[in-house]
Amino acid sequence: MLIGVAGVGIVAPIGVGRAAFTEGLRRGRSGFAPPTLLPDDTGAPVAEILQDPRPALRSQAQAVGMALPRRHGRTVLLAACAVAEALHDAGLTVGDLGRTGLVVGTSTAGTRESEQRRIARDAESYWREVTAWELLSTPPGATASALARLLGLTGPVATVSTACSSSALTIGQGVEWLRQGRCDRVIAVGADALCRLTLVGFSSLKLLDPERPRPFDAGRQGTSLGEAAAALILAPGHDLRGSVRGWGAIAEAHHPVQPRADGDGARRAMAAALADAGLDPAAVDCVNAHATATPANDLAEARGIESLLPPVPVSGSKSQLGHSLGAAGAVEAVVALLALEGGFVPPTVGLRQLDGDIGVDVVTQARPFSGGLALSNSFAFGGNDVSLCLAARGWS
Amino acid sequence: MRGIAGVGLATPLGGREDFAAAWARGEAAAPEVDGCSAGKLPLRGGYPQARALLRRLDRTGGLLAAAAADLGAELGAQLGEGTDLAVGTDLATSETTFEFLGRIGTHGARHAHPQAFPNLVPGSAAGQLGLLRGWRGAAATFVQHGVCADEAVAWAAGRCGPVVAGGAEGLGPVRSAATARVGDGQLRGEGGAVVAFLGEAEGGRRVWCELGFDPGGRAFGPPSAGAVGRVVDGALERASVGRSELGAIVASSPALTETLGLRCAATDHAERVGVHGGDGAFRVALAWLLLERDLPVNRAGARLGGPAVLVVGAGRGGAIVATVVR
Repeated sequence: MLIGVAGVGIVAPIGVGRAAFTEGLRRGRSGFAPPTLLPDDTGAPVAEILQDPRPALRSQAQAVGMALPRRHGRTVLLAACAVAEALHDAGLTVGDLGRTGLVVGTSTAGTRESEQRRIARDAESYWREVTAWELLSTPPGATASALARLLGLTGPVATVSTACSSSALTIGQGVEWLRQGRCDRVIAVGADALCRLTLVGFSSLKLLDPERPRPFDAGRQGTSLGEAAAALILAPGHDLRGSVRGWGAIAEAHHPVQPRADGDGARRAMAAALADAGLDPAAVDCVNAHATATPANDLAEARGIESLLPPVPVSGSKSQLGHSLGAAGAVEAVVALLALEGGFVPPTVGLRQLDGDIGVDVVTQARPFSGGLALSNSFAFGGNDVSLCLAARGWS
Repeated sequence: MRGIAGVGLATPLGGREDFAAAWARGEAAAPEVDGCSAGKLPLRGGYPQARALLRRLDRTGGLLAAAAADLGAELGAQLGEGTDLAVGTDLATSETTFEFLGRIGTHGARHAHPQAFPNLVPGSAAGQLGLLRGWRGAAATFVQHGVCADEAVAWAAGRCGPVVAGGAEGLGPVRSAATARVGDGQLRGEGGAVVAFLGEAEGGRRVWCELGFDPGGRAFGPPSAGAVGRVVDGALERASVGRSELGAIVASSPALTETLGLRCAATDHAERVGVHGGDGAFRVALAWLLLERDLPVNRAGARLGGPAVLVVGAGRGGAIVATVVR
C-alpha cells in the first residue's frame, strides 16, 4: 500500500504557509535572535514565530470550514493553522473527515501558558489560584483533544510524546493505522511552542549555542531552540506531496541524553526505515539529518550515515529553523518533501568549517537536485531514534 | 491478532501473584488518604544491579520498572534486545516539572537542575526502562488523556516481534489536584502494569483494539455513552465477538459500565485500587488474569459469564479505546 502525503501545512519561523516556507528554505533564511515573546533567561538566541499565523492562513481555514482557535494555547494555535493549510492543500473540508485519524506529536504542549504562574508563585499560592482548565490544558494530550474537537473527528486520536522524535513517530503511527485499515486518512501533526521550561532546561545541560546552531561545524557548541507546527495528510494512493515509503524506530538503550558515539542508533533507525520500505541503502538520494549541532549528536549521526549509506548530500535544517523539539520530526519531514518536490537540497546555514571527523557531504548552499528518495532523521532523549523514508511524487 | 504471553503488575495490592491472591480474597487497597488518593504503595525494586539508575527515576518510571520486573521473572529470557516497548502515561512528569519550574522561580534560571530536565520528558520512563532491560527495539510513549496505556496496548498489538506495552503513574500533588478539580468522584490510585506479546505464532489470549473520539462533549469531560458504544461495537466486530459472549467488562469508570447497557459483570477495580491516567495496561492485565486464573470478577462474587472480556478506556477530552481480550 502506497501511503501518500496528500497535503502539507507548515508554520515556522522562516515562513508561515507552504509557499513562504519553501522560499525561506531555499534562500537559507533564518531568524535567530534573543527571545522577544519570552524572558531572556539564557542569553541564547531562539527562532520564534513573530507573526500571528492566523491572518496568513485564514482564507484556507475558511475554505475548509475550520475555525482557528482564539482561546487555546500557542501550541494548539500553531497546530491548528498547520492543519488548516494541510487540509486545504489536500482539497478536503471538515465535512469530509469521516474515518479520519489524528495523531499529534508534541513535548511542551500547554507548558508555555501554565509555567508563568508556577514560576512566579510559591507552591501554596499556586495551588490556591490554579484552575482545572490550566491543569488539564497543559499536558501533551490536550493538544490533540483540542484539534479533534475543532475538526469534529470521531476516528482514532492519539498523542505521542518521545521528546525530539515525537512527531516523526506520529507519521509512523499514522502509516500503521492506514495499513491496519483503522481509518481512510490520517492527519499527522507536530507542534511545539517555545517555553521557558525547555529553554532553561537545555541551557542547564549546556546544550545551547550562544550564537546560532552550526550543524557539523568544527566549532559547533550546541543547538538553538525554535517553535513550529507541521501537518501532513496521509492517505493511501494520494501522493500530491510525495509519500512515506517506510519508517523505523529504535531505542538506543545506552544513555538518558547521549547517543552512542559510534552512531549505531542512527544507523539502526535508518536501516529499519529502509527495511520497512523494502529498499536498499543504495536507493537513498539525500538525508535530512537530525543535526542538532551539539558536538556528540552530529558526530554520532554522521558516523551512522557513513556506515549505512553511499555518499549522499546531507543537510541540517535546524540551522535555519532551530530545534522545535516535539514538532521537529513533522517539520523536517515537510522540509524533505518540499525539497524533493522543488528539486533542491536545503542548505546547512552557518557552517564555516566542517568538523574534520565528519566525512559526509554536508550541503551549505541550496543545491539543485534530481533525486527522489530521502531519509529524515529524528533522535531524542532516552535514545528514541526515528527515521522516515520519504519519496517524491510518482517516485518508483 | 497477537496473544498476551504474560503480564507484570505493581499495584497497591502488590505484584501479579500477590494481586491475584488478594483479588480472589476480595481485598481492597489502603483506604482513602487525602480525599483523592489510595495511598502510596511501597516501590518494589527488583533491580539491585541498577539501584543508582532507579534512584534517578521519578515515581512513574519506578512503578513501570517494578511492573516490568514482575514480568521479567517469567518472560525475561524471551524478551531479548530486539523487544519493542510502548508506554502510556498521562501526567507522568507533571510532578517533576512542577518542582523544576518552582526552582526557577525561587532560585533563578541559572540554578535549574541539569539532571532533572531530561526526566521531564514523558518518554523518559520508557527510555529508562529500555536502558534497564537492554530493550533496543522501537519505543513509543502515548500520552492521550485517560487512554494513553490503552493506546500503548493497541500499538503493541499491531507490532510483529516481541513487544511490551505498559502504563504507569505515581501519585503526587499535581495529579491529585488535576483530577480532584475535575470532580469525577473516582478514587485516585497509582501503579504500573505491563503486558507482553511474543511472536505472532505464539499462543495466548488474543487482543483486538478499536480507537475513537467524541468531539461533542465538554472540553475535559468524558465521552458520551453513544460514542463509547460505537467504539465498543467496533472492537467487538474486529474480534468477531457478540455482546452475549462477553464474560466481564473492565471499564475506566464504573459509570461507563452502566451506560453501555451490557449484561455481563463489571470489575470493581476502581474502588479497590483506584484509577490513574496510565491504568489502561492494568485493565488489560486484569482482563488477562480473569481469563487465565478464573478469578471472581468483583467482590460480589460474580464469575466470568463468557469467553471474552471487554476493556474500555474513555479519557477526559474525548478519546476512547475499546479492547477485547479472548
